[in-house]
Amino acid sequence: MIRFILRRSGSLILLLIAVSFITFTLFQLGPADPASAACGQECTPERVAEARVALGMDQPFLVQYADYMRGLVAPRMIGAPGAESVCQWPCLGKSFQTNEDVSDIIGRSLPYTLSMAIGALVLWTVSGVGLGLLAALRKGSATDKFIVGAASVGVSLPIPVTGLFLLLVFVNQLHLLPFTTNEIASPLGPQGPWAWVLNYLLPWIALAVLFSASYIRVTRTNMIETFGEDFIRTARAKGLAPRTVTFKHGVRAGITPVVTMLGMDIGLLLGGAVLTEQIFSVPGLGFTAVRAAISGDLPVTMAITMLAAFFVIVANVVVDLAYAAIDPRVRLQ
Amino acid sequence: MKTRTRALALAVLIATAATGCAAGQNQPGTAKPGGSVTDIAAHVVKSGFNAKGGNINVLMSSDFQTLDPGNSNYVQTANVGQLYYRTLTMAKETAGQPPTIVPDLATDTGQVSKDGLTWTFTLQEGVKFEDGRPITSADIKYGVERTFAQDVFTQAPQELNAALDAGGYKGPYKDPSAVLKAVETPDERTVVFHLKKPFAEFPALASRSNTAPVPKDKDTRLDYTNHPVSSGPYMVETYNRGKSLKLVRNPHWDPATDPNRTALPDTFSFSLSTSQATISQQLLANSDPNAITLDSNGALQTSDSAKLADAQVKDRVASGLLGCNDVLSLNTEKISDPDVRKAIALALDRQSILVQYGGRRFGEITQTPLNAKMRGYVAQELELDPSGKPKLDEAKKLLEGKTYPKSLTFGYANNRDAYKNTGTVVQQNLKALGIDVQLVPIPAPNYYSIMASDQLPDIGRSGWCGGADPASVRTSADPILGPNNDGTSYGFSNTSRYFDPQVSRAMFELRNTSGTSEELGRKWSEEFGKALKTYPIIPLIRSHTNSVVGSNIRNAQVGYFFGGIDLSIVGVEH
Repeated sequence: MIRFILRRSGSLILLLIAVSFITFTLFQLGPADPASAACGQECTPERVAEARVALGMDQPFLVQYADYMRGLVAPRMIGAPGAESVCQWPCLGKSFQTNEDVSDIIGRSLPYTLSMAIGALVLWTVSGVGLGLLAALRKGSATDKFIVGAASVGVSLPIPVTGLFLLLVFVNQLHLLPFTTNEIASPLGPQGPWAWVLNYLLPWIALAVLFSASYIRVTRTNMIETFGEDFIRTARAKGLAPRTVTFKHGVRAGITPVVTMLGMDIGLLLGGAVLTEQIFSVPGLGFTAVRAAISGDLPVTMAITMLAAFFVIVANVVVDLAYAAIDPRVRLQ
Repeated sequence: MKTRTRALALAVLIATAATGCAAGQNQPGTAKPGGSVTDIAAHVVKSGFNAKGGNINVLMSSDFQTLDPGNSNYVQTANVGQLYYRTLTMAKETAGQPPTIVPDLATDTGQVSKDGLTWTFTLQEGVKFEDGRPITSADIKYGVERTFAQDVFTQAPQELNAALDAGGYKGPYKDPSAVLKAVETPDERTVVFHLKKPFAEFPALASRSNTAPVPKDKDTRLDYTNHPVSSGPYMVETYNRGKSLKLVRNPHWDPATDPNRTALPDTFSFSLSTSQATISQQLLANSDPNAITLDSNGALQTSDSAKLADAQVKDRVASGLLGCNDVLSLNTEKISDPDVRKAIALALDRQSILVQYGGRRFGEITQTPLNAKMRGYVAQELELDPSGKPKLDEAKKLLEGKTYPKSLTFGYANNRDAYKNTGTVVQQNLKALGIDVQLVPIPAPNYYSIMASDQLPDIGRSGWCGGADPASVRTSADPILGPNNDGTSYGFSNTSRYFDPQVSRAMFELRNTSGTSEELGRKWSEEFGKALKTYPIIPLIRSHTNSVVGSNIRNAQVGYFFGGIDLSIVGVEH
């Protein structure tokens, strides 16, 4: 197990280096030029040259990349000669737009994304797996058909449609919920957990409608398949209680694909649910990433891309480990 | 910097006009019998209010790039800057009118020498920083010095600096021993500026944030944005980057020295990360009666346009024309025959283009990027239909027997549908002349760099918000069609690459001519008019902005220059 974790950690670092290099290269090769964007309509060649110095883009590409990577392991100096400032470890650079430390920007954005992801995750997992299981247990019944039908509708509704509909009904028309505020980033804040729930309820529901639809379908299909397997028949033949057969034997085996999906979805969601954050004004990583990409803010774009990759890779490792715990048929060699 | 403010303001206008909806009922403005359009009337929400107190919530979709007056070229920052810094002079806004230049920290708008090369300002007595220290001429000079450090402050405003006889001065950081001789401080209350050439509009340049005082011992360079030392009525209490900003009263601001700012609310609370859609919905629904926004075009979305006439909303809409104009630049090196350019202009359906910008509520069709509110303006009428209808027959007639390019490129910034849609209209219109137009998207942040490079498209939209002095003809005319610094070719921001030996020479000489802004305005108007009649640019839209405010907000006017609610006079019922 330890060897497995060490091996995966090593590949994680290599993957992150590859992702960082690709992002850095794409940015350099792309049409956006942060230096000329910095001075706008009167961007004379002299001003662009000055801006390149200020942004550290006057150095050769590989030097810039090496500087950036060095900042991930030790503090480094940033800025034009004579006006440098220290970027403390872990230095993810300073924003081209606002000169803030990127680590501060990430630190500020992450709690919003976490708040959104955690609630949505709970909601869609409980509803998705629960309804999928119910549909499987009542296969062919009206309940099954209704749940499967609802899942088909849910999976085909994009976030902008669900999100705007929820805002229109619950906030604009019925005034049951407030507009989302950036004052609430966690349930431990001064406004308390209830305000936190109200603040994030609509994004949770919007995400849950989309995600739980897939979970319902996958859970139902796998559970039906599992219920038809020999070991379930054997368990029933041995006279085990239906509840024990279903939950102890059936669910553990049938849930494995759901765990895979869950791991990937958590990884993606933590990297920033771009559309959801935009629609509900949640200033998380996705919200921040969009702004950074539009304005050519390389350090912020780099950091969020790497963070998203980190979450996806870590989620994969966790999924692999979880397999063994959930399904005894899977063994780590 | 003729620049950023305008690039800014321009961006404002640009991003501003957003919404899609054709002209219809309840649209402001009226048509004259001849088809031309009158100014769209400005609307100030509940003016005449003068009670102090309360808090205004300012909803914004993103943080300010910077609050540092030495590193800001954005109108949005200039607007909020009125609250925490003062400058030698001030551009005082009146909705629908170019701002008036009035004294601010100085006792007057400056005394000019006979040769027009030296301007002297005297500071008022009793003006202080937020820590109680008196503001001196050295603080003003240091503020100007910082803006020369372009290798540190990429967005430092450069309009004032470009006018100064500063040699190769590069700011106080790279070489602390270097001296800025163009600014002298003979005593604690006197600031003297030495110019390269006469500049009648220098009082307007002195209103730019370059002249905001900065105490040298408090200069934290790029980190100065976190707490700029206040010389205005408010100061920063808390600033959580990307999240919130709270401004509270500066106890050392003396209203007796500052008749320009009413400073009515006790506090301003900025929310810096609310999406535009949420802002517009909150304002339209009046869910926070104390709220306003500084986002472009009041953060209004395309679908919000129709709601502005609703009974619950219309009295809460501050609106007014801005100084910002959009034109189409024709690359005169590629389309070299003035008759061909004129034919292209005549063939355009500018009414359809206005629809792409959101219709009459978001702008008016213009015949020139100058306007009658500018000092010394002389009307220049083109043969374009004032209401924007195409004159296809005349266009075709002009092209008879001509050799002209049958294939052209139209470049557009890829951040707004209206730009691409304008290209589609041009594409359709020019097809009737046998010209095939290819649309070329350009990354928005680099749009103007590309327009100034060899990758310049044959046709491209360009915006201008009046430059250094929105009431001056020169600061619009010169950047749009003027020559370069030595008068031998087209200027840097002259994206049509217009250069005529006579007209451009005359413009070049006007730069060295002394006179009042009014006198020079007439001369610039005449030369600009001559250039305009060869159609290097096709005037399109002058921007009109709407901004919805909460029901408790008073004195809400859209600034001609700021393009948003003027924070210096706004108040709140509480």
